[in-house]
Amino acid sequence: MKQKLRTQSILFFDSTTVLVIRIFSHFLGAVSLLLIIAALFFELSPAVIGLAVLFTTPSVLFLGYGWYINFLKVNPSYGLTSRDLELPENRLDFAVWEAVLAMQKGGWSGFWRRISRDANALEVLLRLQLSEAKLVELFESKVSNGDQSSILIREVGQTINAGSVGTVFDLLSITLRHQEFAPHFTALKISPEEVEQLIEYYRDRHARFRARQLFWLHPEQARTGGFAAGWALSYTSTLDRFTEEVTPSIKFHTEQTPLFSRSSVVDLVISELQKQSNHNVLLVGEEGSGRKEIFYHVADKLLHYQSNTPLDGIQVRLLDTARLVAATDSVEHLQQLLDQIFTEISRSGRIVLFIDQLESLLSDNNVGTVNLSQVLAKYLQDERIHIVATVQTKTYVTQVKPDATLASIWAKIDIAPPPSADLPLIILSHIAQIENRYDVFFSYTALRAVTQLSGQYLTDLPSPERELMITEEVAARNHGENSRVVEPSAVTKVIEQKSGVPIEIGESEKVKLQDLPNILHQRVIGQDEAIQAVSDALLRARAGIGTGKKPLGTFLFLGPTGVGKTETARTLAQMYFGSPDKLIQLDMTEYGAEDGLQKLLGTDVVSQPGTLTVALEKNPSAVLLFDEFEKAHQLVQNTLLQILDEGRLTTNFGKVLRFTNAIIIATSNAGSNFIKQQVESGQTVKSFSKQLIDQLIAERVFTPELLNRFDTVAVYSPLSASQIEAIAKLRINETLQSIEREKGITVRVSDAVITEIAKKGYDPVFGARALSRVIKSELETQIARKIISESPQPGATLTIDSLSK
Amino acid sequence: MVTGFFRWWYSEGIVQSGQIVLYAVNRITDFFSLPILIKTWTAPWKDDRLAAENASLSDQVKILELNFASRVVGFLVRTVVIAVVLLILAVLIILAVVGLAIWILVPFAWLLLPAVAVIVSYQ
Repeated sequence: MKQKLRTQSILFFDSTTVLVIRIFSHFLGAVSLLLIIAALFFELSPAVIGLAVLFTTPSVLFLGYGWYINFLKVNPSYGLTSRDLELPENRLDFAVWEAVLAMQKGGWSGFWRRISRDANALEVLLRLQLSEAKLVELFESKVSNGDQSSILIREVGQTINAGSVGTVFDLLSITLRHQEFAPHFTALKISPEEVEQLIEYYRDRHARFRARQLFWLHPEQARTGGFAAGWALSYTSTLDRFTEEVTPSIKFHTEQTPLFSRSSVVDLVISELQKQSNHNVLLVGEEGSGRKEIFYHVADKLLHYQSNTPLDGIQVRLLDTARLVAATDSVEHLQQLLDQIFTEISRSGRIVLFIDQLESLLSDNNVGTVNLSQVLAKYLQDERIHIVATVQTKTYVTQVKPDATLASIWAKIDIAPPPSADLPLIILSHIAQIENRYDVFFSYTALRAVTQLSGQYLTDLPSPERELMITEEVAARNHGENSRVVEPSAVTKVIEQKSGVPIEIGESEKVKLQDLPNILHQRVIGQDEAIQAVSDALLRARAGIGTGKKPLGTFLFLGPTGVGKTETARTLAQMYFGSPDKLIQLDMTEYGAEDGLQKLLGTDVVSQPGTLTVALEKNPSAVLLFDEFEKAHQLVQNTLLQILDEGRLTTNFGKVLRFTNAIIIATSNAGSNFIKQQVESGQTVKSFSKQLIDQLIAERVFTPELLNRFDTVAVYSPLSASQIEAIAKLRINETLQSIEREKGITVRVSDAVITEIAKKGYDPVFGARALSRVIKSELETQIARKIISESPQPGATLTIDSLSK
Repeated sequence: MVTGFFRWWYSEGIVQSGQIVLYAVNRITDFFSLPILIKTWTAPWKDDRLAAENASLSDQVKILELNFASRVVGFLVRTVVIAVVLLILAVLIILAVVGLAIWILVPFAWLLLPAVAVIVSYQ
């Protein structure tokens, strides 16, 4: 029980009474020391000096003993023999023993009160929304709310590795698995693995903090080369003008922001840099994927002599491309300056140059495009030049890769976004700054909502910048709120606004979803089977069933022209995304030739982005309508197959397009004649749908693989005379409402006129498509005539009885 | 705890204090770039050296002179800094030795300081 005795002694030493005595004795010691120093300059009586020496005694003793106590706190296994360590109670550190002693006195309540005062445990508990009051409340009903310390000691002893000592993190890892927490974690949907991951993060952070406390044990890590290291390097006046030196103080930043699973990239960059040839590194990835962060970690390792390569202690500089471009008035001048910079680096021989966003030199800036390959080619073989640059995937594909000379200079390293398991840890490593700035505190569930929802709904933004940006935005919006704790609902609200996608199903939306077929029918007349199928698919999507990483819904609408296929898509855009503008309509007849796929996704040959790429980048949450899909080239159809299957697509520029927030609708007129014949012979859509699909497969219009990928294949039937009249009424009402809104004039249209418009607007080939034209040319003209001739005042009513002049 | 304190004070405590002194030595030599200064003691100042191909004899002599001057400047500046570092290290080592003596005596302060107090009072 050595550890118990030690803990009791430490607690006694730290107790309030002893603390007061210690402070008083140190005060006395300080005054005595001043007197002794004064005796060196002034004459004091020997008795005073004697007393002064005497009064320093307790201070000196407390100081010495205090050092010993601090040492024991940091090194709990000091002085324990291997026999001592066989006993589980000797394998607990001071903080754990303190909690165990609290339990021996006050049961579980005492235990949790003590744990809640431990700074390391407190942050874990608060992230899990476990305040001291909540913890005590959860354990109040525990049947054996007494001293269970011996069980706890045994459990911790069994968990930890041989030779190590149990910490407060081991204690949390065991106690948070107790069944009393189950309802709390179930309510918050926090899994045991997530709890363990959170504990591991703080354990690791604590270990790094402890290593800093024991700094004298690792003098090599503090090595920087010193202020005279640059005296051996030559003058670099041009380089000094356009670059900034990265100093060893970068460690303060890198220590706070570990790279987690991507830390191996740092070693890869360093190993490439020390190669004899091809030793310039190009970090290729999306902006915001952490390429600069990786470079800072490389710089940290080199500047602190931690790479164990000849590059240790090398100077690291950041090129300020904006300043460089601004200082030049022509491409020639820019090339000349770059020449000077590289000459100076070569002459110096101990510099790594970092160029962030190489595109700023490659692309057309205000002085023109630099032929970097020409400039760099001169220095290709020079072992004394080391460059690390970042470039976006798109620029690499379009501007670096096609230039054989430029591409061969670099050792290319692809920087993929961090894995999703790293994201909560990355946010946690940045969270302290954000929380302090905005005076808020993020619960674990809120942090999880940031990673999950931003990954699902903000697919156009790069990770992890996306998560950090959202975290900061949520914090900023919650700044000054009554409750400091940020809940997942606050995150949902921000992501809803950013993405334009309704995430939480509100009360009004619940009603809408349950009544979806009727709502769609307010704008789409007839087509009951198709509307029902679309409504069901949407219901499934909003309930979060089955979609996963696929689009929100995928539909193929088959049927003749002008029967409501596009109108359904438009209504869905209005219903689901809140605006008819959220409809991206692509006429697939334009993509029927061999270059169709290039037009759709872009081509790197002429650096032309595709129409789909542009539209989706601008609006990742939308209804995507592929009109007359059967007319698209086979390659385009195959591409859609991949979209329906995986919900994502890599463009020719290497950019990944995600369709997870899109509703995809393909329409086709194929089989229209068959549909008409069946309807005319009195068949219902339900009865001939399968036959139609079999016919389309037999005629090789669509492959079975493609048709099977759609959530729903809906068949639209030709419109009947009464349906046309209903559509006419709907369109006319829209026109009349618009006139009333703009002019303040009420217009009434007789039933005879509506019937006449319906007749004129119906076309056997184009369905109801001609309606809009007839309404415009005949009805609107007639209304205009009346307005001109009668000059009605706002509030007046006009009646249209006939369409004749 | 008291025996533990004594054991720690005269074993691990002294080792730890030694480690802290060594750390200070490391930091000082690193801060003043001592290893680099020694390695480049006679190197030209800021690597400032001239070279010319097919230069005339008189030009070659001038280049030699200038390169020699650059080395002399480098040597002098580095020598001054090395001397300052050595001086600081010497002071540190003296302080460490004094500190070690005090360290050894501290556990007996309860005996030694009152004794000193009595001696001083009756002088």
